[in-house]
Amino acid sequence: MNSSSKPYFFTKAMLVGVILGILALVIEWLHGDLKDLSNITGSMPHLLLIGGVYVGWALIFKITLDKAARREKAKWIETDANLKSLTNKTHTLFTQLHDHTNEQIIGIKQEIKQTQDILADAINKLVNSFTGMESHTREQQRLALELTDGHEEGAQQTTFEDFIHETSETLSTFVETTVETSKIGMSLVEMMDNIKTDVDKIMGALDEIQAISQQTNLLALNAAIEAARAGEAGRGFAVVADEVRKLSSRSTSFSNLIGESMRTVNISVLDAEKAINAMASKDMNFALQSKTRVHDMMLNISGINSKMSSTVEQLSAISLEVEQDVRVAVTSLQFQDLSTQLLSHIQGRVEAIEAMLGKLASISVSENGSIDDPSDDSSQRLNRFQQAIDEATETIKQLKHNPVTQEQMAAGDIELF
Amino acid sequence: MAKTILAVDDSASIRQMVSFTLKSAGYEITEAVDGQDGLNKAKTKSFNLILTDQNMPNMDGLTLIKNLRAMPNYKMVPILMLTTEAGDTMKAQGKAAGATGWLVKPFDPAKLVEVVKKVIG
Repeated sequence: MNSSSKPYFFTKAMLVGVILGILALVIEWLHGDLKDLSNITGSMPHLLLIGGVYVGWALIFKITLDKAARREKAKWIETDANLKSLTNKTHTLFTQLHDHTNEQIIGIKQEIKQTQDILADAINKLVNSFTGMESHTREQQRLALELTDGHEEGAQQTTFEDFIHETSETLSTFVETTVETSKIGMSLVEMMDNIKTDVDKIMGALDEIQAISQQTNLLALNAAIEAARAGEAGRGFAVVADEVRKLSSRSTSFSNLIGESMRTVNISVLDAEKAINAMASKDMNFALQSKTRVHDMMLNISGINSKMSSTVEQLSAISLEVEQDVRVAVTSLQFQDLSTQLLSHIQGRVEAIEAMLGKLASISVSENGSIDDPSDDSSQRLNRFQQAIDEATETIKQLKHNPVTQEQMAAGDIELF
Repeated sequence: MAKTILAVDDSASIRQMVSFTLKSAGYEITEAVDGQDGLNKAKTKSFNLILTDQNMPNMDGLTLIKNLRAMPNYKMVPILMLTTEAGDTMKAQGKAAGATGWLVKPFDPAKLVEVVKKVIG
């Protein structure tokens, strides 16, 4: 209450005094003390006394009220100061809360971003690694199949199987030829035996010729003796006998020459027979051994080829398994997209909280109500608080929709409209 | 000649995996980083199939589909959604916008190829 209200108070006090005086007159009139209005002047001192008493009471009352008002005002000032102190403390606390929360929110946002970056980088490398692995496995499988099939795309090559077959055939032909040569050698040995028999027969015939020649020579000698005995008459016969003896000698020489040649031929035939026999025997053994070795070798090669084919089949099966593993890996690696969307959604929620806290903190310093009424100030602040919370509620409502439905990394549904 | 597919996704890893999977199956892939990029690329080149995500910056999948369906040469081109969204409401919106099918992430590479073959051969 200020000093400008004092005259108004005195007027009110005087008015109250007059009213009370009139009230006293009415009471006296009613009690019979004032039966005639002409006596009113006689009772004026009484009236004045009563009025004065009431004015005095009014003054005392006013002084008492003033004191009470001053005490009340002092209390209000103290309360207001306390409220302002509380408001300042609240503001300080809100500011501290905002600063700390803001610092944490900035940290959370940075760490979410860091997590997203790490995830993106790691996934990029993992995807490259897995896709590269599958490509290499496919290439490995293709090469392995080429090794057994022997077919390069767009090119004509002999297969390993064909190579084995052709080599086997060539070696078989060689062995057969060698066996055939050995057989011919054996025939030659037989032929040589026949020649030897014939030579022996010729040698026998030559012996017979030799005996005939000796007999002829003896007959010619006898004829010469008989011609000498006959004298002149046997001279011509002696000439014939001499000629016969010469023919016999020539026949013996010729027979000896043939015999000598035939013995040489016989020796050569025997040598040839031995050589052919040895060669035929050796070829045959070699051929038979070779045939066995080639057969065994082909069996081994065929076995190696079968094993290689089996290994390639196993490699193909492993490649398919790797392909299947990569499929699972590619499906699982998509967790980065899901995680990133969830992290972005979390970031949205954090930003909503950040915005709400920012508004609440700014209200405590910006809002000021009536100076004389701290409750007005608080009321306005509360209204702004409510408004800030309502706005935040609207924002948070929009964030309720989670963009990621999946809770596990199993492949999602497919629907064609 | 290989059939062409436009893969629209803001996730680089998803684009990479979609691209790898479909290239291995013999398709030619063009990548776009968001709906707007996808729309720009669709304007400059014709595709046999569009494969798009839903939640992307600049332009989302549903808006992209609406824009593509407004273009005469994309009225009949199949458009598949490949997204983490699996809600019936969202699917209904996709169908209404003109989507041909809805694939929920994560996708199985073999099933993706199967669906693409079913749609464009």
